Amino acid sequence: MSETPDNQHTHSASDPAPRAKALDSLLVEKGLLASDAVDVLVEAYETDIGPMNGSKVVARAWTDSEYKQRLLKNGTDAIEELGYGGLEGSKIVVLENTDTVHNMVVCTLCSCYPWPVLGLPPNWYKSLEYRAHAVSQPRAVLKEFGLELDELVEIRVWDSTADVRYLVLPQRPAGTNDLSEEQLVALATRDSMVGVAKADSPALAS
Amino acid sequence: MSRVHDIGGKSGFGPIRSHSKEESTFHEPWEGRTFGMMLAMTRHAVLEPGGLRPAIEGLDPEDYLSLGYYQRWLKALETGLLAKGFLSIEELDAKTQELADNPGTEVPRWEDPPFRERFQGIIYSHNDPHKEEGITPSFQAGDSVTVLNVEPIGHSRLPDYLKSKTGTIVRYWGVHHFYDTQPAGVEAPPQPIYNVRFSSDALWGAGAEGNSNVYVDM
Repeated sequence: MSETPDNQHTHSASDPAPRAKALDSLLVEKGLLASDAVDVLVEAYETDIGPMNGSKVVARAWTDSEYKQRLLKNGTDAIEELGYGGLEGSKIVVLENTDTVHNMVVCTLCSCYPWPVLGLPPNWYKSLEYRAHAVSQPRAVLKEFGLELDELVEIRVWDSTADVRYLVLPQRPAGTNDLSEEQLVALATRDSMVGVAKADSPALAS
Repeated sequence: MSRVHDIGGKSGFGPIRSHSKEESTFHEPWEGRTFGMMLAMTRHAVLEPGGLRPAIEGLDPEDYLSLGYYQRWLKALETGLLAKGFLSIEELDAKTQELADNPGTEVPRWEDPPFRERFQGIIYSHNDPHKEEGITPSFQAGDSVTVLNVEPIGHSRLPDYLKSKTGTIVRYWGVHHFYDTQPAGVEAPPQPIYNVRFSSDALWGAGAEGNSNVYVDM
């Protein structure tokens, strides 16, 4: 996979690495910054809190209709049933994609994102291009992600501005009746849970 | 009037440059350290009053547009630390130069296990800002509402592209501490929050794409 450094707009800014290191060093020397607290945060969001959590929520909803009803009624509580919750997730609302409605999420002002189920947002979600264009040209933006939807499908763009955070429940892909909940987890991709893609089909995921 | 971060509906930014289906949480170690430092330093109220968002929105507009995401965090953290007198620009510049000249230098460590454990709990615990304080909602689902054309007091959660536009109340989320009307130094007052639907036609006129709506909490 290709990695894009988080400096795509940089033209003249000085190298942030020694600056961050200088802040880290000085704050530690002054007894203001607990190094182990920083370690805990970095590790939590690198290894423990990410889209794999949301994928499990989606796979459960695909296989358990009662869970799905609870999830759509009160996302926060149903997500907590699976053990997920915390920072930037005090109220999570789940939006169901159907044959006639496609939901997608953006934060035009910054980077609001449901951390407990999706982790920290990817670069494209935080990019000026996505934030500027998603509300006014959603079909064009989705096309950039390779998703072309029929004009008959209503597109709902959720501009996440407040404490409410949104998770998209993508449609269960066709041809997955024989798959177990565990196998379905791999199909519920991060992009499908933000609403810029459909869930993967089994052929793609194998 | 709105600040440069308020870019919803602006055109001309070009195609999205990165579409990676998977990417590292942090692309370089300094991004993770910056993220962690920002959250761990909240105990010292570095960016209060207001917090991270107003600090980032208050960056020089040219900096805002040219810096990457965690570079903005770094700049906001640095600005707060200098403003509060935790650091001087001279010592920060000198240390930066020293570390740039000696990239192998290890960062010193100081550990605070009780704080770390408390913090670890916060990462995974709900902090529900939902408050019911006897406030009766003024609107009900289905009501037609027009957004005021107001000037925000500092930080605002009202995107500029919605001002003076008419939409429909969809849902009532209850009373939350919303940061929209927060003057400097005052805790955000509780407000009823509604989800409001705006048709793309109402927002973008003749240039609107077909069959789409924008939903916003306000």
